[in-house]
Amino acid sequence: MKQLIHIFKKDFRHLWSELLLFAAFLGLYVWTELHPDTAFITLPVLAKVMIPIGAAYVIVRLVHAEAIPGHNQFWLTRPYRWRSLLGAKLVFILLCVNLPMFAARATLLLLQDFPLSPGLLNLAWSQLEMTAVIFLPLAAIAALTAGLASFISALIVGILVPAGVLVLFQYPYFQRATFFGPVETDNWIPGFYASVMMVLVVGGLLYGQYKSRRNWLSRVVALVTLVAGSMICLHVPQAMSAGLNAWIAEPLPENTGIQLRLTPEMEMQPFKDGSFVSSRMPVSISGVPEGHLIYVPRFPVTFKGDGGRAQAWFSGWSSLYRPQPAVVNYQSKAFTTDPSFVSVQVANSRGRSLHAQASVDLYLFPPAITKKVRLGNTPANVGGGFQCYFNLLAGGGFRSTRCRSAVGWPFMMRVSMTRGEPAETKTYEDESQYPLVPSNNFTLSSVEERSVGWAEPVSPEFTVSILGPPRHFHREVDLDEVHVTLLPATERRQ
Amino acid sequence: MSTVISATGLTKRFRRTEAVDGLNLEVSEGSIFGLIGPNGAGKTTTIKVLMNIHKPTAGHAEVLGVDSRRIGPAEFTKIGYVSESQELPEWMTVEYFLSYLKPFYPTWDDARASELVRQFDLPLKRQLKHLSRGMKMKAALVSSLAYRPKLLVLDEPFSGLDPMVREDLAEGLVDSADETSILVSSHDLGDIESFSSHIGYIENGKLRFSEEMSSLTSRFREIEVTVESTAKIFQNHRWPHTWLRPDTTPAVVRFVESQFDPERTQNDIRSMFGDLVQISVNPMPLRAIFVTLARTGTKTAA
Repeated sequence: MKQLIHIFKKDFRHLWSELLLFAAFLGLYVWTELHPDTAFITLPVLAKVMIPIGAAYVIVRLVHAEAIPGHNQFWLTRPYRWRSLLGAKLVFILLCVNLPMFAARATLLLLQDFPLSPGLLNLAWSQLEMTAVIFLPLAAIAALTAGLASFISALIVGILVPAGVLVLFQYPYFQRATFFGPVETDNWIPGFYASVMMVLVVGGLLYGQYKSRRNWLSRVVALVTLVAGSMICLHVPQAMSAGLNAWIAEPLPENTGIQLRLTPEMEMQPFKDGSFVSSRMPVSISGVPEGHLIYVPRFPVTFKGDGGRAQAWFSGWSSLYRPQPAVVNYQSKAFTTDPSFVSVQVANSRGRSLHAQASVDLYLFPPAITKKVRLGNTPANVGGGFQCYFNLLAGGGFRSTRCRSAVGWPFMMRVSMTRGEPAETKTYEDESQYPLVPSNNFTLSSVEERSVGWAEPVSPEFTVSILGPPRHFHREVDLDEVHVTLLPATERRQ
Repeated sequence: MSTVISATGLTKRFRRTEAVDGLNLEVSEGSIFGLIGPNGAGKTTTIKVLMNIHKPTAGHAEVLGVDSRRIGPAEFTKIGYVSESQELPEWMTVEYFLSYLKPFYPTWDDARASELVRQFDLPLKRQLKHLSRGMKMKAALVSSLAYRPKLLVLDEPFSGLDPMVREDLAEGLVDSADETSILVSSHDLGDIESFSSHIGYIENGKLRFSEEMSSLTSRFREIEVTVESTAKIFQNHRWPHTWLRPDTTPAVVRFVESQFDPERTQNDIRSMFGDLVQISVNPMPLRAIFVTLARTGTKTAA
């Protein structure tokens, strides 16, 4: 520990001028955020560009002070303990890069009158994510290189490799996956998996480099991780995605009173040039407690055939169930890519039926916080961590209603506005995002702002409803007998 | 006398290049071992393997009784290492450099450090980047001697330095030799001739010979034999294998005797040439021995 502190002090002494500059950019950032109407229009851009560059520069200089690759560094033959050295570097990143950045962002939130909870918690999480996914990877790349030039080269490779992977595989993937795009509530999952992989590999690289300096092995591991991470970002197998979603969800308990019923309907029409299968997946939900809303994203249905064969379908689209407590029918289209699968299974099965299994996620939103607010030109807290205001000049002179949330935009929000006589209501609803983490963006901004309406209200009275946070349920539904209606054969498709 | 460094069959290969090839080496405690050899002979690689900067491809080495592959912080508190190509933290002043290193070494001796700083006339307030090459070497040497290491390893420490600085450094080394064993490599014999107690000659990654300086200089002699006629010389088909670089003129034969023994060498000469006019036997400086070995190969030398 003594050695760790000793090295930390040395690094602080070494990089104090860079840290001072970094702090100045953070100060500038806070000032420009608080004064968006400043006449110095380049300042906000300068601050936002220089903060990440400054952070990266400090980290690279820090790691290169005791560069790992090479065999001429003085520290190699001095009694450095690798744990102290690595610890000193990590503590430095935490205290001298992360903490000032967190302080600047937190100051901004507080000066903008955002409530401390959940703002600061989300901010801390965001800062942690930034450390894990940006700062530590930068430190790892620096630990694989010996100088600024080689670091920049490695960074370029680090950008080109994922870009190359995307170029090579994106087109074939999207061609194949035309109807099987990711479920919107799973959007965060590829990034999550890639981030987890990155954190593990970065941790391993830093450990390996500082402990045993296996530069080439580490470089190969880093390259393989880049390729694998890019592939994951492009496509996470449905099983992994659903598995993670199911893992973080609660099982839907019987005593909630919520009933979920799926009644798939399939029709197969043989043609001369092959069969065409159409299917529908009506969803019946009942027993939703009064005042609650239920959100069902697209969900996968796996039809299982003989010999372990399986065919996956996705329900058509997401839906938000509002009428309570009435039974809601939700009919979604499903798509088949392989009618031959159904044909074969139907031919094999005398009863013309298939076995299927659906993985359904439900998001149950408690009664919304509904508040009537009088909006002015300055942001006002409207509850749920949101601030809204009426922006006269937003979007190049267009008037709009804007709302903002500390760090991320985690919940669902509805904004109703009235205008004219009789009252005309315009509602804005944000798409539901339910990431595992409170925020899933790596932007510097501690505030996420969106336009929630474009009308020009006569009255400044707004009704703001904020949903959430939701409870997430998961249910595996077995569909033993999916009947396939065989339609008479026709010459050609309609 | 125990050994501070021992290497057996030490090999280091970089892809297809064999930088060190089955090297055997022993450095005794209390000695100043001069490792000499031409550029590219494998001196630096050998030292870097010994210092655990490179892992050996094959063979085994021990430094202060520890496997070179396991040398770590605990061992480095007792080892000093100075290299011509060492990258120092140039932003530090000499004073801060020394004070930064001090807590790493339990045996750091402030008085010794001050004494060395005075001896080398180091400007304490100046940043390392603003020091001349010689001054940097001095700073590195002070930082490696101040904790009174048991072993000091110097890789080409005199390279590119002016004679005054060389003299200062050599003096510093000799002063420390009482308590520190020293391994010093150089391609320039003049640098280490004056203070080495042992010498090792490395070529093509192999240690050709290794022995005490006094023994080496006593067994090499430059001999000039004046004869009446060289015709008789050519009747002898084979020179003794210990005679190196023979050179004949009509009346004079010159060669280097690599195993000089006054009586035996005299007898060998007489049996080879018969009646002689004159024999001149001259001791050789280390530089001349080195040149002889380098030019003739060393298989017959040891």
